[in-house]
Parts: sequence; C-alpha cells; structure tokens
Amino acid sequence: MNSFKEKLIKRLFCITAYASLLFLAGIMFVLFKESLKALEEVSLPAFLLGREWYPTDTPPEFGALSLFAGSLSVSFIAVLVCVPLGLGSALYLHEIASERQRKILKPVVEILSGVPSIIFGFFGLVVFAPLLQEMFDLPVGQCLLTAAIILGVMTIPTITSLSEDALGFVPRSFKEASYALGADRWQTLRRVTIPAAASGIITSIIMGIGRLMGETMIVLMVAGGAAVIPDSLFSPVRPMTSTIAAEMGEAAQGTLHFSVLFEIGLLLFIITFILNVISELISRRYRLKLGQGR
Amino acid sequence: MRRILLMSFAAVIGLGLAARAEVSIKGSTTVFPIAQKTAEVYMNNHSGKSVSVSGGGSGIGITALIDGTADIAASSRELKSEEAARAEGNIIEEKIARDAIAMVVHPSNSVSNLTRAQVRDIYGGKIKNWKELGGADIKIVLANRESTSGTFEALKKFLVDDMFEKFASRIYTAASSGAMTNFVAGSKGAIGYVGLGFLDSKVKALTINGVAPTMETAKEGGGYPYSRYLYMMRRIEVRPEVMDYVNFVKSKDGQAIVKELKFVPIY
Amino acid sequence: MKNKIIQNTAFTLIALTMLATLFFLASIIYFAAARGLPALSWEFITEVPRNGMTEGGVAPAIAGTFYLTMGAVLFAFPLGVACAVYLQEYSPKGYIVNIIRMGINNLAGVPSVVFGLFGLAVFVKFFGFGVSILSGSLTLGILILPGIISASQEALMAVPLSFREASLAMGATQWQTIRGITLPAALPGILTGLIISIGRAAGETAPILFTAATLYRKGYPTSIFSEVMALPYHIYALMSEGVNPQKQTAIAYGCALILIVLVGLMSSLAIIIRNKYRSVYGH
Repeated sequence: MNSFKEKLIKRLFCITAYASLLFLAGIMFVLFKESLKALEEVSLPAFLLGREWYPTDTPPEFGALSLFAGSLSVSFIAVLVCVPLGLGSALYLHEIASERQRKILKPVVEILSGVPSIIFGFFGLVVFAPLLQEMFDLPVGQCLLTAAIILGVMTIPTITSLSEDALGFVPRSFKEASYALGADRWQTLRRVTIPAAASGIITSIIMGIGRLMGETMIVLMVAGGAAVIPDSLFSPVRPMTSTIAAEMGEAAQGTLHFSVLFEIGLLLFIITFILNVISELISRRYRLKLGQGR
Repeated sequence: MRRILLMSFAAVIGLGLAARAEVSIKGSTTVFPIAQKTAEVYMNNHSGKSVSVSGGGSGIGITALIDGTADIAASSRELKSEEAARAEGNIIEEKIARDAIAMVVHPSNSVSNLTRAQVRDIYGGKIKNWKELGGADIKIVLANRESTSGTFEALKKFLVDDMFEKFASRIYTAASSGAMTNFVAGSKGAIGYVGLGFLDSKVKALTINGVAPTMETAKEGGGYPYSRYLYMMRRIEVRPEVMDYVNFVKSKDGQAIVKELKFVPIY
Repeated sequence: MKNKIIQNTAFTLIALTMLATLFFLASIIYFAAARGLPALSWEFITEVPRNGMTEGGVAPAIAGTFYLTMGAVLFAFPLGVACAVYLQEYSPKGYIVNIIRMGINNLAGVPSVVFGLFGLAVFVKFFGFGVSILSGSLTLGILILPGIISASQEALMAVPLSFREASLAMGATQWQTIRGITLPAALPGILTGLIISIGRAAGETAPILFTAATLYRKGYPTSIFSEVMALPYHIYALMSEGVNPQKQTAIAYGCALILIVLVGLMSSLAIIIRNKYRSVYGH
C-alpha cells in the first residue's frame, strides 16, 4: 500500500516536471500552426527580405525586413549602453566596493532588475524623449536612439547581476596565485579573473541580448513606429515586438494579417531560442572548465 | 477521477457564463471616449448595471459582435460588404454621433488652408516643402497614427489614395492623439491629424477647401470634407440592458456627453 | 609606479560606470516618485475612475493586477515546486533531466509578447475562455513558471544531504522525507522565488495585452471570465488612448509609482527572507 502511494506520488511529480517541456513545445506548435496561412500565402523571401510593410492596405504587403532591422538596430545600440555599464558595475561590486557598499548595492541592483519594463517605457515617453528632442532639436523625440538608451538602461541590472555571479565563481586560488606572482589588483582582474569568468560574462551578455530583442512595451512606446530601415540614430523605427503588440488588436482571427503577426512571433521565438542554446552551450563548457561539471 | 475533474471544470465555466450579465463594448478607439463616458454615467444612474469597454479598433469590435463575444461594436465606419455578409442581416448600425478630423500644423506656420488634393499629395509624399504651398522654406515633417487607430482609418478613407498607406507606414507614428498634438506643437514643419476633440491652442487647425473644422461644419451637409458618422452596432435581438444603454447614448443626456467630449451630437 | 597609475585609472573608470548606472536608474525612480506622489491619495487607490478616466482612482486596475497575479501564482506555484521536487529529489540522472533543464531555461528566455500570442491562440481562442482573468492568469503563470522552478530547485539543493539521510535512516519513506524534512527546510528559499515571481507577474504588460486587459470597466470583475483593468496596462492605455493628456499623465505617474512600490516591496521582502535564512545551513 505504502509503496503504491510512493510510486503514485513519484509519478505525479514526474508529470509536472514535463509541464515546462509541454509548454515550450506548445508555444512552438501554436506559433507554427498559426503561421501556416502566412507561410503558404506570403513567400518566405518576400517576408524576410521585403521592405514594404503595409498590413492594412489592399492588397496588403508583408515585408518584415524593416521590422527585423528595427529590432536589430535598437538591440545593437542598447548593447553598447548596457554592456559597458553593466559589466563595469559588476566589476565595481566584485573588486572595488567595500563590504558595506556591497551589502547595500547588491540588493539595490537586484531590486532595480525587477522594475517592470512599462515603467521604463513610460519614463522614456514622458521624460527622456522630449529631453532628447530638445537637446538635438529633432522633429520627433521617439526614435531609435531613445528606445535603445532606455532599453539599455533597463538591461544594466540583469547584466550586472549575472556577470557579478560569474566573477564570484572564479576560485579564490586563481587570484591568490596571481597576487603571489607580484601582480597588482588591476592586472589580476584583467589577466586572471575576467578571462576565467569570460564565458559566464558572455552568457550574461547573450541573455541580455535575448531580453533586448524580446522587450515589447519600451519599443512600443518610444521607438516611433515607422516601418523603415533606419538611416540615422534619430529615425523612428518599428521593431518586431512592437509591431505584434500594436497590430494584433486590430487583426481579426483567421486573416492573413493575424497569421503574419504570428509568423513574426515565430521568428522572434527562433532568434531567442538560438541565443538561449548558445548561452547554454557556453555555460556548460565553462562549468566543465572550472571543474564544476554536474 | 478524470470525469469529476472535467465536470467541475464545466461547472466553473457554466458559472462564469451565467455571471456574465454585463454589457460589453468593443471596438474603435475613436468612439472609445464616448463609450467610456456614457457607460460611466449610465452605470451611475443604474446601480447594478455593469458595462465594460475595450478598444482594439472597429474591425475587432465588429468581428466580436458577429462572433457573439461582444454586445456592442463601437465603430467609426459602416459595415464592409464581407462583414455584412457574415452578419446575415442580423446587425443594426445605430448612429450615435459625428466626428471630424482636423489637419493641424505648428502655430507659426503661415499656411492656413489646404485643398483636399494638397492634403493627399502631402500624405502621399509628393509635396515635401511648405514653400510649395506658399509657406516658408521648411521641410514638411509628417506624423501618422497607428494603423489600428480609428483616426488613421478615417483619414485613409477620406484621402482615398493608395499612396497614403504606402507612404504613411514609413513615417513617425504617434502613440496617441495627445502625442500627435505634442509632436505638431514642438516642430515647426510638422503636420498631423487629430479628431475634433483634440484641438487645442498649442496647434493650428487648417481649413480644408476653405472650410474650418467646427461642430457646425462637421454636421451632415455642413461642408467640412473630413467628417463622418460614428456607430454603435448591435444585434437585432438583444438583452434589455443592451438596448437600454444604446438608447441612453442616443438620448438627450447621452448626446450632451457627446458634445462635452467635442464630438458632434446628431439627435 | 606606472602600474599604480593604470590601476587607479581603470578603477576610477569602473567606479564611474557604477555611478552612471545608479544615476540612470535613480533618476527613473526619482521622476516616478516626484511626479507620482502628488497623484496619490486614499481616493486614488480606493475609488473607481471617473469623468472619462481623468479623475477618481485606479482601484479596479489595482484589483485586476491582484487577481491576475494571484491566478498566475495559484497555477504556477504548485506546478513549479512539484517540478523542482522531481528534478532535485527523485530525478533519475541522465539525458531526460538534461532535456527538461534545457526546456526550462529556454522557456525562461521566451519573449513576453510571445507568451501573449500563445495565450491568445490557446486560452482565449482555442479553449474559448475569451479575454478574461482566467486567460491572463494562465498566460502569466506559464511566464513565471521557470523562475519558480529554478528558485525552488536552488532552495532544495541547499538542504544538506544529511537531513535526508537521517530521515530515511529512521525508516521514513521518500515522500515522508520530502514532505516532513526537505520541503520545510527549503521553504524560505522557495518563498523567495515565489515573491519575486509575484513582482514579475504584476509588472508584465505584453502577455496580458491580448489575453486579459481592458481599457475601462466600472467596479470590479464579477467572475474569472471578466475582462479586467490592470496597473501596467492602464499606464500604457492612458498614454496611448488617452483623451486628456494633462490629467491622464498625472494618473499614469500615480500608477507607475504604485507599481514601483509594489514590485520594490516584493523584491525587498524576498531579499530579507533570503538573508535571514541564508546563514542557517552555513551558506
């Protein structure tokens, strides 16, 4: 009796463990299924390489290249903001901050990483975009640069936390050996600690990029929404995520537009999936290297 | 075990549907302020009645009405022919107000009248500088609204120009009518478009073919070209509270709210 | 001497990045607080919106966020903890576990708007729940699931092996050990994960955009099939569909402040619990 109950419980737990896989598979299946109509009716080259995005025109055109370019350009510039600042902050916390500073700053960074993106988007819309418009005398404050800076700032705490963890994993003995050889703290940091933590840091950056590409509310509110391949930092852009969010409300189910928006979702999913797998592979190799394989 | 689960699941859903005694309105963001405010006043006058209002655009509202997931579709346009076919004559389009779209420019702009053809050429990307229209030598900076917004769809309909959509998807998209007036107020060469309700002193409204956008000119036959009816669509057979609410919107009190929101009352 | 200068320069630069980070983030909090505080009042958090959403409070949005978050937690918490228990306590080592782990990591990286699409296709349309609290909660639940699993797993991992061995040696079965010893010992860590997930679910906008949110309703939801107002969506809605920018921006600031305080409190609570219990097993 008892052993039957034990087995039953184990079986139940086992089912729940598969839930995540089920959801992941479900997401893939749904995205693909809903995209079928678009995949059939809009040729893949026309979708991926077309620059003309006129979803409600008759006949409509669904060239997503401008949207893809929008996502890519915003993410790229955001990386230039969040990687130096995020990584610098991690180094500060790891190497320079006193114990007391660390005790305060680490939780602060952690709390900030939980601030919802809508707050950043709102701030960007009402404070930062008008500021930038005035500073550079722009016709529009909502543009590529605004979105990228706000996105970058939002992602700093994520990169800081993860990189700081990676730095913390470097065995003390590495550093001690370096000091014993007469290296100073900066030399040790640059030549020993950072290289040893490199894969962890890279993983954190890749995860940061994934977050940037997938962020919706900020770009919806401050990117400007023009479906063009940006030709300057001040061009308004329309990334993939904001296109989905802005247009899904109007696209009736069963229409081609509805399906194409799912296709964009599928594309987004594939991109983040690949980024995840890459970071997974890197972090696995890294654990082996430091002898923490499990 | 599984059957019990399924049954309780069905019971929960049944309860939920039974509790759905509220009036749900979906549709046009243009009509949203009217729907929202009238719903608010209506509920204040009738305690126990519940009305929920969500946006999404005219198309979504009409689809929801046909599918039965909404009681009222707020729409800034008539039924399209394929929608009418799907509705099988089961839907009544109740006119509730009129709305006008004003073209707005920076207050310092010396141009104060445009013809419909000129507006079309500006939004088609053919006219690029204010000096072509007799103004100063300043580049025209266009702004657009999201293609889901009722205002966008209205202007598109008024311009009846393929170029509009093609060109408009490439320019700055204001997130709201408020953002549009801010944009126009802050940029010398700007031109944008907003509903009559959003005109304020920060921007200058242009006359079109010599007619200014006002409450009077926006009436049917009033002469202002960019004006249209707004609708609340319902099924022919509706629950009493739905009919009650629609009648309220068309009543004197309802139309007073329409006027207060700077739309044009029609009853 | 030269090395000293290089080190000082480098460290100054690093310190500057930290300052810049704090400056950027502090300025956002500052603006939300400085402009949000005047909007806040007892009326603001207890009243329904009035006069075309230009006056009154945002109580239905607060309530909506509460329901959505609770729903998400009710769905994801048992599932997540059970999954963590299986992976940590029962798991047969091997490729299956690896695949599940990878699945969880990947699920954590899926963009939130994609969860929204999933929720729209599956809960709203396929199951026919409509745009409702139920659809939104389930969507948010799947979104926070990976976080709950990871946090719970870490908490279980931190329970010393000796606890389990002692219990098993006294003749307890594996389930008795888990229920009586391991789970209670891991509880603080599990709770920490739960609280952080609550903060996350409360602040997400994109997943509820097509699954739960409505612009306006008077009063509170009547069933789990009601559309709801929600704080984060309300901010967006006021800024995009608003008709009275002046008054409505002030309301949006108020909502932003409430949201920041809410999420900040949640994270602080989580950090406090964690720090209090971290020392127990010598971690």
